[in-house]
Amino acid sequence: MASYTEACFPNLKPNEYQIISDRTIEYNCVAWAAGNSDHWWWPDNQSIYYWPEGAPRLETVNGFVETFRGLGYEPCDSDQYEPGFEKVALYADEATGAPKHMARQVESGIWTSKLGPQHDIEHRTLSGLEGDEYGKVVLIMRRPHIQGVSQNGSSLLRVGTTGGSASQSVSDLSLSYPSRRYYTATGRTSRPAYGLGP
Amino acid sequence: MNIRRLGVHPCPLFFPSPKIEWPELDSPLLDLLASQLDEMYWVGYSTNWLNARDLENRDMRGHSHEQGKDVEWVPRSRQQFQRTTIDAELEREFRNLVEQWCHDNLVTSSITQLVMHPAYLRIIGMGRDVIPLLLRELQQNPNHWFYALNAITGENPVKPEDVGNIRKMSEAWLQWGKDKGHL
Repeated sequence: MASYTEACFPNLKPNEYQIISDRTIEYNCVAWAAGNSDHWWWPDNQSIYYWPEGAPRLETVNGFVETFRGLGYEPCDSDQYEPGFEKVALYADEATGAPKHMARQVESGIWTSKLGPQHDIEHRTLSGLEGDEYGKVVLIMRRPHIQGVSQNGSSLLRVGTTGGSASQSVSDLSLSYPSRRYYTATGRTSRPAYGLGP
Repeated sequence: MNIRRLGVHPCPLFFPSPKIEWPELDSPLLDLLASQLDEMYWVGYSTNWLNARDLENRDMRGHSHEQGKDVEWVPRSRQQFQRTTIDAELEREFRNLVEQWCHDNLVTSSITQLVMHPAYLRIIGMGRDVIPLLLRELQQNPNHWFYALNAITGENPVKPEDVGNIRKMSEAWLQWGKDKGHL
């Protein structure tokens, strides 16, 4: 157990989570939710940080919805595990509505989160991370499991991971995406565009 | 910053000799430095540098105008001593702000939240003098100093293809720092 988790997340009970990686600043929760582990994703308006090309650089729930639609996700009602689907959850500040955190469902309802510049963890409940730091869960999105991915695991964890540390890069992302709607600089197309990033 | 608190006489033009009273010196190191002063002569120094430190008693300083710039005059030996002292103070303040910023953002992912934190904004407000400290911090503990460096310098040496890659962004800024003589 890391010393900061109890202080930052009073709702996270010690027996309901485990740390699954070393501390690293190389990626953040949004990257981790999207299946990437070598870029810090954020839609800052000066484009100092990575955000998928063609996706709206908006720090709003709708902006994140549109961005993850570009990754093949659609909003859904339940955070329960559904065979055949992988899900992400978006946390936002209750007062401002500003997105704060994202988590990804990996196996039978277990969620995984990258805690800012700290560790990756697996946690049993989404509510464990709710509170002052990350606000509340405001949205669940899902997409069909990618072909060739274990129904018990996520698309990311199948990519050469050791001890929960993923190795998928931004340029690998397109390999995971189904043929749905994706963003490009000029509009939507039928092929994944996010993989054309850095 | 209160220059009197640092033990620097507010009116360098009227120093009668190297044997100056340093009434507020209390550090053994500063005492040693003061005892080493064996010559007094004047050199110009940019008023910008002095203004940045919010010096007191500005009306008591010597001024001149050279090569299109306002120049404020301080004794060289004092200037070196003063500079050393102020840099140490600057670094202490910087370290305190970094510590506060890190403490308050242990698990933050939002870049907006990170760069709008009061400590981060105060670091930006410290201006160009803090650039070497930011670069050294970036070298030793890579973190999100890119906005601060960009805001202070107006530059962004990161290649478009490296945006979001913390390691490569850090490398680009460190190379920039070496090229500009900050490291």
